[in-house]
Amino acid sequence: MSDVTLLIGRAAAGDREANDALFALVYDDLRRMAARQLRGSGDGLRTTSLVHEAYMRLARPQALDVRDRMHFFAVAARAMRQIVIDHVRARHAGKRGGGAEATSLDGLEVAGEDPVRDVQMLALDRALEQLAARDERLARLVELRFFVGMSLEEAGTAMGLSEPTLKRDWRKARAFLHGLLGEDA
Amino acid sequence: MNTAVERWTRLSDLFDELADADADARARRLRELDAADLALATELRRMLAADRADTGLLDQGLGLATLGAIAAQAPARVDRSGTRIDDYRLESLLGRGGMGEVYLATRMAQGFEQRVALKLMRRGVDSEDGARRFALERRILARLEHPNIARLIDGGIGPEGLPYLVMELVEGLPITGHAQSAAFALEPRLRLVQSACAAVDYAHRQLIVHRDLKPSNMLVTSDGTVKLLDFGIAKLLEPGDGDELVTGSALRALSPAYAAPEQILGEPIGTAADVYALGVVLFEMLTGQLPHQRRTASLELLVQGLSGERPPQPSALLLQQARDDAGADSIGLARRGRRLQGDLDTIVLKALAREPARRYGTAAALSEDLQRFLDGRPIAARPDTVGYRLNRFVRRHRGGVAASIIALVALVGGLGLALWQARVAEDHAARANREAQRAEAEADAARQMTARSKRAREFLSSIFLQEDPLRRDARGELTLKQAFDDALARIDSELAGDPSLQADLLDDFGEIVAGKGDFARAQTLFERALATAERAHGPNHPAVAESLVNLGVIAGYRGNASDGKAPLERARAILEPYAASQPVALASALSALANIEFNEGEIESAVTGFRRALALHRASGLDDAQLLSIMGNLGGALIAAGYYDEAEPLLHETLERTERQFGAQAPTLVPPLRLLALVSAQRGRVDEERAYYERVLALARAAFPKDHPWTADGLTETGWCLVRQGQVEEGEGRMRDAVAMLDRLGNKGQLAASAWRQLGLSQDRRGDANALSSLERSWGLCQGTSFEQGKVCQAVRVNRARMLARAGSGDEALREADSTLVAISKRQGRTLDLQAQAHEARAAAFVALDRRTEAVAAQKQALLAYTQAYVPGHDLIERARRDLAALESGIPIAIPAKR
Repeated sequence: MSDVTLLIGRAAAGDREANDALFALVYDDLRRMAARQLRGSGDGLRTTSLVHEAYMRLARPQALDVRDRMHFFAVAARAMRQIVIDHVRARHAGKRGGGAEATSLDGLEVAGEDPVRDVQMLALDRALEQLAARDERLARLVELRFFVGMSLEEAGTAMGLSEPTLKRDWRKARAFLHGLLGEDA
Repeated sequence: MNTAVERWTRLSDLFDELADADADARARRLRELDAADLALATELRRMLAADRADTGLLDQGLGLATLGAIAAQAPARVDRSGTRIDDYRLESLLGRGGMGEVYLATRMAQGFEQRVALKLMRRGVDSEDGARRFALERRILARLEHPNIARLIDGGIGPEGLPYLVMELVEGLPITGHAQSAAFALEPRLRLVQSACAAVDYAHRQLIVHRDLKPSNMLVTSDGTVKLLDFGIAKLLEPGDGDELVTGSALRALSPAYAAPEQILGEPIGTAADVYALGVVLFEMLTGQLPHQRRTASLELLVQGLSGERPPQPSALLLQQARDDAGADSIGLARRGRRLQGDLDTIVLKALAREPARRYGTAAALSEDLQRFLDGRPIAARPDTVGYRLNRFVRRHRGGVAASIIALVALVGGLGLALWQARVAEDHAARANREAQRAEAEADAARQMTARSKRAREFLSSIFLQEDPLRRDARGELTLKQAFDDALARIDSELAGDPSLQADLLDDFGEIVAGKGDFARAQTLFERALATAERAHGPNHPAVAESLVNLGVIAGYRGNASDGKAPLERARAILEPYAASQPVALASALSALANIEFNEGEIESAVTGFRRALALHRASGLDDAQLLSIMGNLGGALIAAGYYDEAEPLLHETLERTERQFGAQAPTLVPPLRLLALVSAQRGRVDEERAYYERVLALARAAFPKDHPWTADGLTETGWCLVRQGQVEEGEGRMRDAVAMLDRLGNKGQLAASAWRQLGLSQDRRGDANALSSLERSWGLCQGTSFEQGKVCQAVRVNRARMLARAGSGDEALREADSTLVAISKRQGRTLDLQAQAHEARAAAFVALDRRTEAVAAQKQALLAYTQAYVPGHDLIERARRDLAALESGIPIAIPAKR
C-alpha cells in the first residue's frame, strides 16, 4: 500500500498524473465499498465513513503529513461527486455504468427514476463548476459537505481551516449555488 | 489579472458586508449598486435572497436512494479462486449471487477428484441468527432429491467463518437460451418448462418454495436435462418454523424481473409465487422477451409500477413484432405468433395472474395444461373475462383542507390515449373479429405508449442535459428555471406534429408546477393541455376528460373550488358512458366533485359521490394511490355525516393499505388516524383515541422536525386526551406548547383557534378563571375568517357563551347561544354534539339570569342531544345527567359538564 501513499504525496505536491491516478483509484474504491456496505448491512450508508474507510485502506495514515491528508479528502470528495454525476448521465444516455456486472439484478438497468432529482444533481454539478472557477476553496467545501456528508467541523479538519471561516464560507457558497439553482433548489 | 476573479472578490465582499445588515442599510446600498453596476447588483440580490431562504438542496443530504442505486452497480471484487476450503480446492469463480459466490471446485478425497459446485456465503456465521439460517438452508436442500434438482453433497464453515455448501455441479445453459435461437421449435421448449414444473412441484410437495426462480438457476445440461439450482432463499412452509430466513434482505435479493407481485409488495409468499416465475419463464421461452417493463431495482418504484402492469398476450407481442419487422423474420414471427394464439396465451396469462389465487394452484397443474395443449386437447384454464384495464399512470397525491378533515384528491393523468382510441374503435368493429382486434389494439397501444414515453423522456433529457461545456450555447449560465421555461417553449415548437404528446407534456408540466405551489401557472398549463387535447380529439373524447379533471382540482387549490365544478361536471358527462369499461377515470371525476361539495357543506351529496367513486374504483380491481385517496375522502365524509359504523372499517382498511404502500412513517397516514380518533371519541374510548393521536404526533414529528401545524395539532389533541384521562398538568402543558408553536409559525387559522379552545376547556374543568380569556382568544381567531361558520368555531362560540354565563354575563351568553343554535340548524351532517353544547350554554345562561325552570328545560335538551350523539355510558352523557340532577335539586352547579 505504500505506493498509494507515495501517490498521494506526489499528487498533493502538484503532480497532475499522480492526481489522476489517485482519483481513479479512489473512485473505484468508493464505488465498491458503497456496494459492499449496502449489500452487507441494512442500515444507512454514510458517505463520511466510506471516505474515511477508503482513507484507512488506501493510505498509511501515519505516513501522510497534514497537507497530504487534506489532499486525499479533497480527491475523495471530488470522486464522490463524479460518481453521482456519472451515474445520472449514464442513466439518461441509456447506458449502464462502466463495467457493471449483472448480479442478482439480471442485467436490468438500475434507474432510480426521479427526474427532478437528476436534474438537480446535474444543475448542481454545473453550478459547482462555476463556483470553482471563482473560488476553488468554496467549491471544495461544498463537495466535502454535500457529497461526502462531512460536518463543518470535519470539513475544517480536512481542509485545515477554522470553523468560523468555514461557517462564513459555507454560507456564501450556499447562497451562490442556491441563487444559481433558482427557485428549484 | 482575471476579471472574473476580481468580480467575484467584489461580490464576495459585498455579500459579507450586507448579509447581516439591517433591511434599510441593505436596500440603500443595493440601490447605489444598481446605479454603479447593475449586473453585479442583480447577482448580489440573488445571492442575498437565496441566503435568506430557509431550506434548499444543499441543506439536505445526498440521499440513500441515490447512493443505493450507484452502489448496486458496483461489483464486489473478492475472488477466492486458487484457495482451499476444507477438502475442496476452489478452481474458478462461476458466478455471483445475492447470497454469495459460486465456485467450481474439486474435492480432494482419497485419491479421486470430484468436480463440484461450492457456494460460499457472503456473510459469516458470526451470530446465532446467521448460524440458524445456514442450518436451515442445509436442511432445506437435504430434503430435495429429484433428478431435476441439483443435489446437496456437503457443507461446512470455511475461512473467516463464512459458511459454504457443496452441490452437484451442473454445467448447462439457462433454460431461456433456446428462446434466443432462430430455430423455433415449440414442443421441445414446452417440454423443458414441463420438466421445470415437475421439479418445482416436487419441492412444493416437500413444503419448500424456491422464491427465486429465474433462468440463471434453471439450467439445461448437454443431454437436455433441466436442473434447478440455488434454493438459497427458499423457505419452508411448515408452520412453527419461526425462522424468517429472509427479512429485509430478501427484498434486495429479489430478481425484479421474475418476482411475483406479492413478493414485491411484501405480502405472504406461497407456492403461487413460484408459479408466477414459471409463467415469466414460459413467456420468455415463447417470445424471447419479458412480459413487463420493470426497469428498476428500487423497491418503491417496483411497487408503484405494479399497479400499471398488465402482461400482454404472447401471441399479440409476436404478431406486432412481425408487423414491425420488414425483413425475412416477419413471416416466421407471424407464424409463431399464430400458433400461440388462443390456448397458449390463456395458459401463460393464467400463470401470470396478478392475484395468486387466480394462477394455477400447482406447478403440476400448469404442466398438465401444457400437456393438454401438446396433445391437442382442450385446456382447463379459462381466459380472463374481466374487461381489460387501462394502463394508467396515477400520479402523486395532493392534499386539501376541508374543515378539520384533510381530504386527499388525486390528480389523474396519463399517457393512455392510444388505448382510448382502441376502445372507441372497438365499439364499431365487427363482432366476429372482436377478440383478435382487441389483442391487436392492445399490442398496438402498448407499443405506441412505450414509444411515446420514450419520446417524452428523450425530449426532457435533451432539455436538461446540456452537459458538455464545449457545446454549451451562448447563454452559458442557465438557471434551472430558465431551462424549464425553455422546455415549455419547445413543446410548442418541436412537438407541433404530435398534439397528443403536447397535451400530455403540458399536463405533466402543469403537475410539476402545481407541486411547487404555483397554482396559477399550473392552471394556465392545464388550460393549454385541454385546448390541445380538444383540437386533437374533439370536445367529447375521454382524453379531454383528464385535463378537465386536472382543471377542476386545481381550482380547489386556488381557493375557487366552485369554479372547479363546471369542468368536473363536464368530465363526468363525458366519462359516464364509459363507467363499465373505464371506471377509474370516472371515479376520479366523481371524487373531485364530491370533494368540492364537501367543502361547500353539502355533506350528504359528498357522501353519495364518494361512495359511488369508491365502488367504481373497486370494480376496476386497481390497487393504487387513487383508491387510497377516495377511501380516505369517503371516510372523512362519513364521519362528518355521522355514519360512524360505516366509516370505521373503511378507515381501518385505508390505514392498512396506506401503511403497506407507503410505509409506517408516511405522513399520509395522518388523515385516517385522525378520523379513527374521532370514531373512538364518539365511542367514549379515550385511551384508544389518545393512542391514535399519539401516533399522529409521532408521524408529524418524524416528517417535520421543526415547528409544523400538524405537530401542533398532534400536541393539542393528545393534550386534551391526557386531560380527560386525569393527567391535567401534562395535558395542559402540551396544549400550551401547541399554542406557542402555532404562534411562532404565525398560524392564525383554525388550528390555533382549536388549540386555545381546548386549553380553555381544560382550565374550565378545574375552575381556573383564565378559561374565559382562552376562549376569548380563540373566538378572536375565528371572527371574520373563512372558517367562522365551521364546526370548530361554532363550538368555540357556544363554549365561550357558557363561560360568559358563569362569569355573570347571562344576557350576552343567551344571545350567543341562541344565534348559534339557529346557525347549527341550517347545517348538514352531524350536529348533535354541537347542539348539545349549545343547550348547555343556554342552561348556564338561564342560571346566570336566575331563570331556573328554563335552565332545567335547556339542560334536559342537552342531555337528550348527548344521548343521541354518543354511545350509552359515554362520559359526556353522564356529566350532563349529573348536572341536570344538580339543577333540579337546586344545588348550584360548581363545575359544569363539558366536551
